[in-house]
Amino acid sequence: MAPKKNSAKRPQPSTPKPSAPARIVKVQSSDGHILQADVRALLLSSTLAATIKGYDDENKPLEKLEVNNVVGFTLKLVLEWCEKHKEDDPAIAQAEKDKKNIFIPSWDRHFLTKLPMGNLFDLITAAYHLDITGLINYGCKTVANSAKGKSTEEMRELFGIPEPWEQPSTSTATWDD
Amino acid sequence: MDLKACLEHLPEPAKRNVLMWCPYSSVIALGKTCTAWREFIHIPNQNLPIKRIMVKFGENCSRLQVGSSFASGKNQNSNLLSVQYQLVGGGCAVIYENSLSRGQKKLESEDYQDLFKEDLKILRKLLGNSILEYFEVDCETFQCSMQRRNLKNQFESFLKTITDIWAYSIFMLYRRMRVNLKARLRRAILNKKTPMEIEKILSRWEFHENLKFYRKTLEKWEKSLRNGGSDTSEDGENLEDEDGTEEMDFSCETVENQGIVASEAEDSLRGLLELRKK
Repeated sequence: MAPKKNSAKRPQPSTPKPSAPARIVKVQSSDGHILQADVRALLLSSTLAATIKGYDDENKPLEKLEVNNVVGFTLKLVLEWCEKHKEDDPAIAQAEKDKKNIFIPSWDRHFLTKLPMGNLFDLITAAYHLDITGLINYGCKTVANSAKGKSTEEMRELFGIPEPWEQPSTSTATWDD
Repeated sequence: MDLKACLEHLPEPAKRNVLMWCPYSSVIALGKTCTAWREFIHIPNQNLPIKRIMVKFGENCSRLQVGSSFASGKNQNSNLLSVQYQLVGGGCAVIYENSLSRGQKKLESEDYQDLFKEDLKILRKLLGNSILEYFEVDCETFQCSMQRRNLKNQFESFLKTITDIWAYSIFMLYRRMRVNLKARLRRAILNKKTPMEIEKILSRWEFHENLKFYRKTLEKWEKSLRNGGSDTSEDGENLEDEDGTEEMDFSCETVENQGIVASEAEDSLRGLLELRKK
């Protein structure tokens, strides 16, 4: 069977090469949880990459990275996604940034759609804080996909919005209100 | 977890990202869910994926169709929202439908033309800087109607509304068509094609019929080019330079330009409409 179009674009994560052993660092969430991650996975975040580069430039030992605006549960999800994509070429995610049509690989689709909507929003927000382009693209596309074909009521339920929108009586716009 | 807070507190670029991938009917539905999303959607220049707009005029009614495209998996799908505004008694009825649902709303003491105009304005605002690929004005009923004169007046009022709202977009499309026509003519003349051959070549171009009225203004330029003259525009325009200069100010905000833009766009539309009347 011919390989899928997307698989050619986005290399599948592979096991670390023996010549380049994984460099593991500790990452601390805003609520004090300490997790471990490969530096290559953390480099997908432009924010963390800049911090790591700062340590490297000054030859300071990097023992622990503090992520002050992401809670432990969400940070774990972020690190899981980054670990899966640590072998990816960052240029691919950048190229997808402004595309009107992107394809979500099956692993990412499964990973993102199994999350409750609230967790998905937290993950997208964390992706923005940490500037992880690929995760932003796939997360937002997943939210858009989940909204497709839904009525206002269904969206309200899906996104957990309790208050109904009240029509302004003065407005003349019809289908928009 | 407070889901409402999560939704409302998504970073603005994330919200824009989500909207970019939603079909138009989903955007409208999302805008109705809560005040925060509604306000966000109404920020100008959201660049929503609206691809085509079709307007149809009839007796005491008009129809607006909005087409958007969105990606689903590997496929590119389209979504069509149709809204009909109809005169009913002292008010009007608005019937809206897409592939999933259909609804009707009766509005007492409302003018259906005003509602149509308001919705067009909203649409223009939501389209932002996106490029509209297709704009069609269908006046088939207008041609067949017994009340032609009344409808003509009505139609002219609509035409003014459309050009007032869409002038810039139509003008850009019209300008590109003119640039294209000149390029085709130039290529044909420089390749020593006879006038008959040129006509044959141009007749295969789908937009040529719509630009015949403009072509008349190019007669001197064509003649000069045939006689080996320079390629400067005899009609006082240098379209190639305009088209390549993105920063050129054709903004509708300039009062002086607005008249020109609207007038040219109207001419362009009139050309299209005259063609349909034949």
